[in-house]
This record gives sequence, C-alpha cells and structure tokens, in this order.
Amino acid sequence: MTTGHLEASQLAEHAEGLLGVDEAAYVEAHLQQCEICRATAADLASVSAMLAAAPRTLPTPAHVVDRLDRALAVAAAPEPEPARVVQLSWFRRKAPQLLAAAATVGILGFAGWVATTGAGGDDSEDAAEGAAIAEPEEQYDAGAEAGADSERAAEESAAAPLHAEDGELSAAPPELADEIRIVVAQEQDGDDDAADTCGLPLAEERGLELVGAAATDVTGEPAVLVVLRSSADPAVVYGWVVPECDATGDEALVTDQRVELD
Amino acid sequence: MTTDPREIRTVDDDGLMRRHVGGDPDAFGELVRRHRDRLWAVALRTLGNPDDAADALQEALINAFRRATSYRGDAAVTTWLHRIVVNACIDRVRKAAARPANPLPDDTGRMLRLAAPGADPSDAVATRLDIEAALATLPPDQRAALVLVDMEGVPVAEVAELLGCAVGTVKSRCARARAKLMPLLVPNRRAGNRAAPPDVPSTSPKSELAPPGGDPQ
Repeated sequence: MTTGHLEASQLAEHAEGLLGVDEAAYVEAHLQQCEICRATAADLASVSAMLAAAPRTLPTPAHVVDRLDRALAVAAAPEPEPARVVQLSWFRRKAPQLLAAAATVGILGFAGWVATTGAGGDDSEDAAEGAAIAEPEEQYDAGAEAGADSERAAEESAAAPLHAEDGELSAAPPELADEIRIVVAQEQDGDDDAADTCGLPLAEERGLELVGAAATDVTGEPAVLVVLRSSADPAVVYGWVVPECDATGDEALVTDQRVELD
Repeated sequence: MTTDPREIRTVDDDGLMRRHVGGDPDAFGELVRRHRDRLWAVALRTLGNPDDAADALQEALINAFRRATSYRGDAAVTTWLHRIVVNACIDRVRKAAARPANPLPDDTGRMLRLAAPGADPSDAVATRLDIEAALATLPPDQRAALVLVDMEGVPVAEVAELLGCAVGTVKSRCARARAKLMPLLVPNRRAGNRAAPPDVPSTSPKSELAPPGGDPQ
C-alpha cells in the first residue's frame, strides 16, 4: 500500500462531504499538491459517470422471460379451453349454493348475517329456509333440481362457517383446490411481503391468518381468491372468492372452501 | 373477449392498465413485454445475481398484477412498475443485510476473481469488467445504495427511506462502493498496487455529475 497518498475510500467520503472538518481540510490540502490523488478523485467521479451512462435496459434472459410468463399466466388464470369448461361446470354445480347464500344475506339482512357468522344458533335454520323460499331470480341453467339443491346448499352454506373449523364441510372441488394450493405454494416460496394486504379485510373479519391471495376467474369473471389458514389446524386452509382485495365476507362469491395441505 | 395481438401493441401504457383492470387477460402481459428489460436491469443490478433478480422481478410483477386497481395514474405506468420492482429488491436487500456475516471481505483480488472468473488477478493489464459483474462484487447494502443513487437517479433521501437508514449511511455506502468499483471499472487502475499513470486517461469520461449529495465544502 503506497503511503503518503490518500485512500480511495477517504477521497470518496470526502466527495460526499462525510469527513469531519479537520480531516476534510487535510484532504483538501493534500489534493492541492498531489497530482496522483487528484487523478484518483477524478477516477472516482468517473465511476459515478460510468454508472449513470450505462444502458437503461439489459436483455432479460430467455429462461427468466419464460418464468415470468408462466407466473403471470397462473396469476391471470387464463382460459385454456378445457380448464374453462371444468371451471364453469364446477361453478354451475355450485351456483345454486352461491345464489342461495347471497339471498340469505341479502334478504334476511342482519339475521342472515348472524346465521352465517355463527352467532345465531337456531337462527341458522331460519336463514336456510328463508334462502330456500327466496328463489334466486337469475338462475344459471342449473337444471330441475336447482330448488332442492339450493335448499340443501343454503343449509350447508348457512352452517358452513359455524363448522368451518371441524372440517366436515365444504371440501373444495379439485379445480379450486388447485388454485388454493398454488396460492399457498407461492406464499411459501416467496418472502413474506408485508405490503401484500390483498384479502386482509376478510382475514381480519374472519379472525384467521391470511395466507395469500391471487386473481381467479373460477366464478367466470375476474375475482380474487383469498386463502385463510385454519386457526385450529395449520395444515388446513380455506379459500374464499371475493370480488376484490378489500372485500369482506358479505361480498363473497364462494366461501370457506376447505383444503388440507400435505 | 380476445384481443388481436397486433392491435394491443398500439395501445399506450395507460390504456393497457385500464384494459387489465377491466379484465383483459392480455393487457398486463403486453405491459411486461414492453418494460421487462428495463425492470430486469434494475433488479439484476440492485441484487447482483440473476437468481435473486428473477425472484424479485417475479414477485414484483405478480404484486403489480394484483394491485393494478391501486394504480391511480398519478405517475407513469413505467414509474409505478419501477417502484414496485425496486421495493421488491429492497425487501431482499434488507433481509440479506439482517443476516450476519458479510461474505465479501474488502479484498480486491477476491473481488476480481469473483467478478471475472478465470481472469488472473495478478495480471497487471487493466481489465475493464462489465458493470454488472463489478456491481456483483459489492456487499448487498452498498450495491443497492449505489445502484439507486448513481444508476437509477433516486434522490439520496428517498433511498435512505427505502433502505430504512440515515442519509449519511446511504452516502457512506455509496462512497465505499465507488472506491471498490474504481479499480474494476476504470482502466489502468488497480487499488493500491500501482499509482495512476502520469497522464490521467483522457478517455475516462469527465463527470458532469458531481457525486450526488456531495456538497463541496
């Protein structure tokens, strides 16, 4: 190490105004009389200039492009034909239940809400009946057994949150279960993202841990799949489909779809 | 609704964001295609290795995809995306910094070997490394500070906020990082083992930028 010359780091700190008064004065005085150190200072400045002049873009490697495309395809839940058919058929099966659940909340208002949130004891039966009476107007082509379905489904949906933790109800259909598992896997892969608050209002309302959220079109239109973790069993999660990240349970399109993680 | 792939390329960024929020499945992909290389450059330079950069970029883009409704149009879409990518990178840098033990000692020989595998560090011929390889030799916190300040033009105060440290800390990290990069990037210079040639390389670009934040006393 050459003695008698200033260290590059010292010159760099001097350029940033980081040195104390005495040291700065010493460096200034040295620079006045030392050509080599002046050259070092100029080279240091040229480092910043080179960095500033570097191209703004770099070609993204092909494997990274592929990876991003795949990840975004999952996030977008795009519609390859067969998958869409499966998803729609799942939604048709579930449609009466969903509509009945909506009717329960919509018509019975607070009573329905109490029933579905589990505070209501006997009310839940009333709620289910109310839902069965209130035939949804815009029927999907759910078929002749829609009425019976919706009655059964309404009971189920009114009762589901009551028993959500005991695991008997609402096992998610495979297509939705897959989406739920993808969300779980992504959250495990990635680091916790404190800023990711999508689904938080729902999680707070349900009093459950938010695992993650993803875009989904499982209901046939863009929506958000929110995954919550069971408080009783960390290996159990529940998928909810809500219209947007900030939605709470009363806006849910699909509730409490249970998935056991391996 | 399907979109003509040629038609979508004529839509501007704001239009693509509106389409994406409106449910067009192709709009966000087109945004990514347009700005990917710019975002990749930020991630690679800030994080110093392609694996971390790919992770951060993916995380950021998925995040942006989901949070598109939070885009208010008060900044350009590119700026919005850029910010999300920078945040994803900074998250990683801060986690890395929280881990003990800086793996890179301040050792120019080792830096050179790492930056240019196969190059013999005893070779006195000036080796000008490419900027990304040189950046990769820096400790994560220094690299992030320097990339944001010198390459991305982010104000020092903002970088301090992003990194969760004092302004002086950012300046100090940048200063140390520049000192380490100098022998790697500036021709005919090796830290300590030889003096600058008598005539300062006139090819070295004269800095028009004063080092950011450095108020000459």
